[in-house]
Amino acid sequence: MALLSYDGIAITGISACVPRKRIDNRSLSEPFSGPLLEKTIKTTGIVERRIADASTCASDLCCQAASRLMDSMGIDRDTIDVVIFVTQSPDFKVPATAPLIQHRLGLKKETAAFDVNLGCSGYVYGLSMAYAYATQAHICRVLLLVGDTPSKYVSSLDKTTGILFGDGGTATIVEKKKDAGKSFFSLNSDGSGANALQIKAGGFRHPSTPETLANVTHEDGSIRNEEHLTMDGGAIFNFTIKQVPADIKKLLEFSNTDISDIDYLVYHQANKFITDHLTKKLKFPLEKVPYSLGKFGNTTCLTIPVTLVSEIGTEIETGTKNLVLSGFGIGLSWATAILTIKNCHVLGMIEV
Amino acid sequence: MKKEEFLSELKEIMEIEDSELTEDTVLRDMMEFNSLALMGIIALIDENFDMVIEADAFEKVSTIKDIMKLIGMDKFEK
Repeated sequence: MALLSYDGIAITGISACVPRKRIDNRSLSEPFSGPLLEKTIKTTGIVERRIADASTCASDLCCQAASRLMDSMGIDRDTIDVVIFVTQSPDFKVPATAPLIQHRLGLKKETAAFDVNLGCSGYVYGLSMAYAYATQAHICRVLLLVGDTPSKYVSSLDKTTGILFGDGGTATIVEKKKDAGKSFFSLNSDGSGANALQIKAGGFRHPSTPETLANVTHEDGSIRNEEHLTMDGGAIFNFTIKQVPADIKKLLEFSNTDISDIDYLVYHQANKFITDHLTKKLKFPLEKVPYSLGKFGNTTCLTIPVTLVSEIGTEIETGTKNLVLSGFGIGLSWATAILTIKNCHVLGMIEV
Repeated sequence: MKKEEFLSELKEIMEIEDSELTEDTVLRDMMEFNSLALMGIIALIDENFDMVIEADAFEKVSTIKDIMKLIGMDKFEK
């Protein structure tokens, strides 16, 4: 069972960067229209999203977030020993993007650098790895970069996915801290649901051909090709309401934490209807659940750090807060963390 | 939950204002039946009957009564 616990490791700094370009879902035209569009906005809670331009990659947004964070914290770059890049939008098919980032950020060659291909659960998974490395005697700091540009693999004309996603990049510094207290993680997977969220073609199972790139109009009026993300919303909803509350309860029990001691429950920002339902199932106060999805949409792997920065940045910077972090979705993959953040260096949202 | 309460909640989820919803109403005849409504129905059942019905199961559903059979007629209060 992938239940992990750490002592004396903390998140000491966090920043998030989004593109300046906004998409207002209310201004969308065909195939989105009328009452159904308004109902979708109301149900999902997603009003605005940020979209990167053609030349901006997820790594660029992460590098901005990381550079400014390290400068602001006065971090000597030689103290970064590990770079973990969580993304579904690497710069190249190969090589991994993390070594390129090591070079671009001017980090030393004795830095471990690697990519992790995870989406909605990616921040919690990435954090669990960062914590693991940080326990090591010769590791001073871990730089966890979580970024994605779903606008480049989602069809903007797909009625199911076209209004949900936004782009961005985040940076989190993880290191040893004497008064950090204990942190707990639960990590899970179920590949039987892999096709519920998938880009079918363009990998090595179904290589790219002119056919996989040909746009097709579907029954519901959606236009997409086989190299665009598809989503089975019903299946994802079923999976989420079954697995997520159970996993949160399991980790609360494992960590011997009473849910009333939790200050904030920070979900992956998928869809407000779904997460409100989870909160009700957990009998947790709705006002302790922050949301950033109205402004930034579902930014896949980085919704949790974006929410930490944009919604409760001041709270985690000036006080001591007990958090539950919950990521779930593509894979299928889901993960929960219970940790304490105090006096964390938080930069305001960066726009480029 | 009573049958009447279930029907009235369904009516709200599917945003039906000007017509009646009965056990014999055919789901696909409702313009408002879409993936959002489906999510709402699954959530309604989870909240009130503590059971998660697979989205796939709704493909075989024709009338409201068929949904109630998925839940189990004996689960409704008299």
